[in-house]
Amino acid sequence: MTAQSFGFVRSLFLGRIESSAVMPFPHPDADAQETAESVAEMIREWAADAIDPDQIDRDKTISADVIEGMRELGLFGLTIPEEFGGAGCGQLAYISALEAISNRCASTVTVFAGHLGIGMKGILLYGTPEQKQMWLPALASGEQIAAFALTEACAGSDAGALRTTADPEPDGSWKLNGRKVWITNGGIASLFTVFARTPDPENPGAPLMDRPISAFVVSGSPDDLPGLSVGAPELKMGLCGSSTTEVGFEDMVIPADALLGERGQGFKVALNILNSGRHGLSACCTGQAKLARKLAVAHAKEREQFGVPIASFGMIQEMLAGMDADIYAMEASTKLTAGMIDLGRGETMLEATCCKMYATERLWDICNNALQITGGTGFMREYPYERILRDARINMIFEGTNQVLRMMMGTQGLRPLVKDLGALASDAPTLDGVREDFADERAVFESLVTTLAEKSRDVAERHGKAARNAQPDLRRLSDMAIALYVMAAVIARVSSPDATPEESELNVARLACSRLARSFQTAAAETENPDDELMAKVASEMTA
Amino acid sequence: MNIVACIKRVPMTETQAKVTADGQSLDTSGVEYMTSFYDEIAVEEAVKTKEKLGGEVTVLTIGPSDATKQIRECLAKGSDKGIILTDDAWALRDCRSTAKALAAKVQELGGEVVFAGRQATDRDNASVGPMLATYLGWACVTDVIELELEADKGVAKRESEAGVETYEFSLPAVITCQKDLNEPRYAGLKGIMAAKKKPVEEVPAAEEASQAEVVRVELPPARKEGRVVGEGPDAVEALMTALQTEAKVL
Ligand SMILES: Cc1cc2nc3c(=O)[nH]c(=O)nc-3n(C[C@H](O)[C@H](O)[C@H](O)COP(=O)(O)OP(=O)(O)OC[C@H]3O[C@@H](n4cnc5c(N)ncnc54)[C@H](O)[C@@H]3O)c2cc1C
Repeated sequence: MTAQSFGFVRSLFLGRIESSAVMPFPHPDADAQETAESVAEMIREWAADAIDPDQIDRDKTISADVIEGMRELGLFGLTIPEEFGGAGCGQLAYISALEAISNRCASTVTVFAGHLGIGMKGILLYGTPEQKQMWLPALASGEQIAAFALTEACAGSDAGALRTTADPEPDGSWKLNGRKVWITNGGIASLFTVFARTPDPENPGAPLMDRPISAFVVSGSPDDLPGLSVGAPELKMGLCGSSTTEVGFEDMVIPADALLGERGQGFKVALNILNSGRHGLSACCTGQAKLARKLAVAHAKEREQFGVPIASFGMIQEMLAGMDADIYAMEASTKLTAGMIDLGRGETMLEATCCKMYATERLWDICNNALQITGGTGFMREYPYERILRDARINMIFEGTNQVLRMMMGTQGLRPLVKDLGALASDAPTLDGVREDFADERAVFESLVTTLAEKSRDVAERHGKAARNAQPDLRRLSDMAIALYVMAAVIARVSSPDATPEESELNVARLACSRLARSFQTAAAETENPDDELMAKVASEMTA
Repeated sequence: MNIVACIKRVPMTETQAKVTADGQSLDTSGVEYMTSFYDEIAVEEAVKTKEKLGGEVTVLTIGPSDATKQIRECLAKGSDKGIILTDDAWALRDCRSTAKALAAKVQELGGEVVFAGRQATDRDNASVGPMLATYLGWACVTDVIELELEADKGVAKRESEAGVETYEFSLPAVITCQKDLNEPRYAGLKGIMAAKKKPVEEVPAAEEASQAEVVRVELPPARKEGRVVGEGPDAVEALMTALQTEAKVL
C-alpha cells in the first residue's frame, strides 16, 4: 500500500483506484479458509436438525436447547482468542458462521451477532489484558451472553444525544443511571457494553449534554445485577425470536475497572464496534437471501401455469437471474471486505458500510421477488416467504440506518475535495489484475470511477462546506460508490489467481457487473435533473 | 484398542446424477462430496468405542487427495488420525479390489476392530465390509443396530428381514453399521480446531486389478406421471383393480 493511501472506497470519490487493496482477491491462507468452511459445514448440519425457524417465529422465543446447542458447539467463542477459551477465528470464519446460521434462522443469528458482533466486541477492541482475562472466558463458553446498549428513547441515529449517566463514587466505582431501549439479547444477557455520560474532570460543572461519553462493561450473574432492570420482550414485526428489551439502570454501582477504553472516549468505542458489526450484517443478509433464492427456484420449477413451469416465463427469469447476480455480488463484497480485514489491507470502515447497505437492500428486493414468484402461496403464513420478508426489514434500520450511513459515507468521501479540489486524480485510473475476458467490465468500472469523481467535484463546488447537508446529493454519490465497490469485488473475485470459475459463474458475474453499472447510472443520472428544490418545498409544506 | 473406521467420499445426497458421454460412468464435474451417511455412523461408533475402552481411532479411505476434507471432518468428530490410500481411479475399483487394499492396510496398522458403513450411498453394494472381514479372516456382523464391545469380544444386534438377530463374536471383527446404531455428533469448534493438529497420511493404495468392471451406466427411467382413478369411497374399487391388474402389486 502506498503512503498516500486513502482507503479503497474513499479514493473512488477522488477518481483513484487503489488496486492493491482488492487485487489479488485477499483470500486468507488455506488453513483459515478450510476452518471457515468446516465451521459453516458444521453449523449447517446442526442448524438443519436443531433449529425450527417457523416455531421460533411463532413462539416469539428461541428455545433453551438451541442456545445450549450453540454453547456446546463452542460458537459463542468463535472469534475470541484461544488464550481466553475461544477458537480464535478470523473474520472469514465469522462471516461464514453468520451466513450459515442465518441461512436457517434470522432470529437465531441475531443472538449470535448481538453477542460476538457488538455485545462483546468492545472488550476485544479496547479491553486491557486484565479485563480480557476477567470477562472473555465466560463469554467464550457462552456461560454469559453479551449485549450492546447504546440506543435510548431520544438517542437513535443521533446516538451522541444519550442521557444515561455514570458518576464516579469516592471509592473509584461508578454509579449508573438511565434507560436503554431495543437492546438485542437484553432478556438473556448478563454482560452489557453500556455507554454513558461521565463528568469531565477539566470541567466538572458542565451541563449534562456537554459531558463526554464513556464506555462501561456491566457484568454479573443474570439474577444478581442489583440496580439493573430488564423490560418485557418487545413485540416486533420480524426477528420475533430474538430478545429485544429495554434495559434500565437505577443507582447501579459498578466497579472502577468496568470502564472500557479511555474515559471520555466512549463514543469512538461505540462507532468502532458498530463499524465492525455492520460488516457481519451483510453476511446475515446473504444467508437469508440464499434461503429465499432456494425456495423461489424450487417453486418456479415446480409450479405450472398455462401448461408450462413458470420458470420459463421471461419476467420470472428476470427476477431469478437478478437474484443470482445480486447474491453473487453480496457474497463477493462481503468476502472481499473480510479478506481485507484478515489480511490487514488498509482501512475497511466505508467498505463495510458499502457491504451493509448493498446487502440489506438487495435482500429486501430478493425476498420480495421470491414472494412474488410464489404468488398467493408466498402470501400464506404456512410458507416461510412472509417470515423472511418480515425478518429482512430491520436490516436497513439497525447498526446505522441506511440513510445515516449514506450521509456518513458521502460526507467522508467528499471531505478531501471540500478542502482542496486538487485532491482529484489527474490521470485516468486503472484497475490492475483483471482477467482478460473481463476487459469490458474493467473498462466500464474505470470510466465510472472517473464519473464519480466528476460528480463529487460538482457537489463539492456547488455546496462547499455545506455539502454535508446536501443530503440528496450525498445519497446519490453514496449509491454510486456502493455500486463501484461491489463491482470491484465481483471483478476481483472472478480474477483471483486461485479461482477457476466456470462459464456459468462468469455469466452470473457479468450480469452482476451490468446491474451494478446500471444502478450507478441511475444515481448518476439523477444529479443531472434534480428535483431537489421542488422536493424540499413539497416536503416542507407537508410537514409544516 | 486399535480401532479403524473405513469411510467413503460420495456425492452429496442432493446431487443430480448425469451420465458421461461414453455411457460408462457418472459425470463428476461440479459434483460436491460428503462422507457416506452410514460411514458417519461407523466413525461415531469408533469414537464411542475409544471413549469407552480407550485406544486410538484411525480413519481409513481409498480415494483422491481431495478426500482430506472428509477425513478432517472425522478427525474433528473425535478420530485421531487419518489415512488416505490414494488412487485417482478409485471410483473404478470393484468391491473386491477395494476390500483387498483396505485389508492390507488394516493388517499393517494392527487393527483390532473395524467399523464400516453398511453400504456406501453412491453404489449401494453393501459388500466391502464383509469382503474386508473375509480377507482378514475376522468375524463380521453386518447391519448392526446395537453393540456392546469388550476388550476381546462383543455382542451385536443386527436387523434382518427375519427380525432382530443377536450375535456374540470374538475380536478382531468387522462391524458394518446400520442407521439406528447411534446419532453421530457435531464436530464443535474445539473439534475443528483440534483436527488441524492431527495427522493425515497419504499413501498410494495397493494396486489390485478389478475383476468386475462397469461397462454401462443408465439413469433410472423417468417415472410415469400419476393418475387419479376416482374420488371418494367410489374410487376404492377402481384403485384395487388398478393395483391388481396394472401395477400388479397386490
Ligand atoms: C430489533 C432491533 C434491535 C436493536 N438492537 C439494538 C442493540 O442491540 N443495541 C442498541 O444500542 N440499539 C439497538 N437498536 C436500535 C437501533 O440501532 C436504532 O433503531 C437505529 O439506530 C435507528 O434509530 P431510531 O430507531 O431511533 O430511528 P431515528 O434515528 O429516529 O430515525 C428515523 C428515520 O429518520 C432517518 N434519519 C435520522 N437521522 C437522519 C439524518 N441525519 N439524515 C437523514 N435521515 C435521518 C432514519 O434513517 C430513519 O429513516 C435496535 C433496534 C431494533 C428495532
